Amino acid sequence: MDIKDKLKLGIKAAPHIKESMDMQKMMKITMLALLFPAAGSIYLFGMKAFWLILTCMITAVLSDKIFRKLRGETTPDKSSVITGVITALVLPPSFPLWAAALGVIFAIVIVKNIFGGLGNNIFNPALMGRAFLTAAFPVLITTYALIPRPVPFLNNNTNSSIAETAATKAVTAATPLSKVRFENKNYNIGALPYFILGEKKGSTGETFSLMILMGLAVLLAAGAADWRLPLSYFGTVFLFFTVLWIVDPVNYISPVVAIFMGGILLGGTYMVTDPVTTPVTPAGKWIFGAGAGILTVVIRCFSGYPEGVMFSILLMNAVTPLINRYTRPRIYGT
Amino acid sequence: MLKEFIKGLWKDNPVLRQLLGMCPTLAVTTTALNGMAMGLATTFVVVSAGIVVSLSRKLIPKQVRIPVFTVIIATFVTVVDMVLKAYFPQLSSALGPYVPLIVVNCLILGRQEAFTSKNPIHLAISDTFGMGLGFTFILIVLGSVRELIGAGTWFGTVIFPTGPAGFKPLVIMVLPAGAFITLGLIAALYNLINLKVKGEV
Repeated sequence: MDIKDKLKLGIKAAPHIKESMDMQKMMKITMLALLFPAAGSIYLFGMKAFWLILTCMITAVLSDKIFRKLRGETTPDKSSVITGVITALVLPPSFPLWAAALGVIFAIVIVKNIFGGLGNNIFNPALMGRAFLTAAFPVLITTYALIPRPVPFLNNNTNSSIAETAATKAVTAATPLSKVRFENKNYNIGALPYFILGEKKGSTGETFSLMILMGLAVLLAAGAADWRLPLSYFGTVFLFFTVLWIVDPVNYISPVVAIFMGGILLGGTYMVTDPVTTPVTPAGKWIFGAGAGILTVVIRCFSGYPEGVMFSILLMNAVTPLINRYTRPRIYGT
Repeated sequence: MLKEFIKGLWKDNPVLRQLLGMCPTLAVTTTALNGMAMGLATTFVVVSAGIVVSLSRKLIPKQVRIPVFTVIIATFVTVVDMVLKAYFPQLSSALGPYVPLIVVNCLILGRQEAFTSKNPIHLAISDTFGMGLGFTFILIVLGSVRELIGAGTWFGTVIFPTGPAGFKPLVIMVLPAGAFITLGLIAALYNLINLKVKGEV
């Protein structure tokens, strides 16, 4: 009898340290956190959102499997499901399924796998997939044809004129952001309940702000995301909007409302906290969040684009290796 | 002599192996026709300059060879520019500032420095002609891919009819980003074929 059978010793490859958080667990938590905005979008937009999410998920898993088989990769990697769902959440709900699948294939094959697979990609795959689709189909990506389901108990309240105008304005053709950018529309605090409960046009996952906040709570409570990243991001955006609002309250939206518009919450919850494409040092995380926040507001308020979340996070992804280098902790004793 | 000609087509391809002349490669290949025009113009310049440099290689002082090469190249670029303006005004305006910029195409200067200034005229012609054709070949491939996917046409002929129910062109392919993506993928394919031929994959 062999000695190892007698002693009942298990033989396993390194690492041997039992860490409470491992990659598989982290992905499960992220999936759980993604269920909230996914469910919210299906509630708001119906089966269209469901098919979009399903298509993106299946395309992501299949393209990842096929490409990794071609490359002869064997390390387990189940992150493609997450990439698929997040890509679906950042696309308009009325986006054609074939084009969404194309964006997902770009995200998985070019952005993630060609750069070395899980953990080696420079850019957030889902956002890069959206950036690709933005450049490829500029008309489709800005077409928000689906009207979200109205908030039931708020719309009955016809007495409040603020709520009424906010409600009607929130569901017309353009997204609130493009109205702000191109029609000089200003939203006051009365529009806030509608924005939080999803009665505004926008990408599939970004409309139902309350659901995203619940997803964020899950991520932070379970320790799958570092609190510094969302805090510094939301904080910088809020501060910057506050300064603009104090200087010129006619042309700039109240910071409380602005933070619930567009993709700030979704980006800050699921993209800014991406452990692969953001800095690893605590100081670096603060810099990343602050930089992305400043760029978001700059692009949103002073450029030709109505929204800046995607580009700001991608730009900060690009400088992440540099941030890591400059915030490297000093070795004790040197 | 044949060996010098062949190497530019595949083994030492100026774009895929030497990665020279990236500026026109990426900038003008929005259509197959533009790519071909730029490739042929470059071929003419590199061959003509190669002949002159090879003939005068013993007269050029080593210390000032780069300015001399540049002046010779600039002469032929001016010829190309004027011919294009006179006979193909549409093409000339499509290529825009990239025709005068052939002067600083590092592929052309690189051939003079590396080959024609050290070799007799018959070798110089075959080398530069091979390089020019290899350059043209890749520019046409790049332009074709970008035009097909980005506009649904090839050399101006409609291949995929666009429309509400038809082919939806990927606008990104005619934008600069599409040039980088396509060139990267073509270079990867080139390396893959080379490895397959060597039997390493």
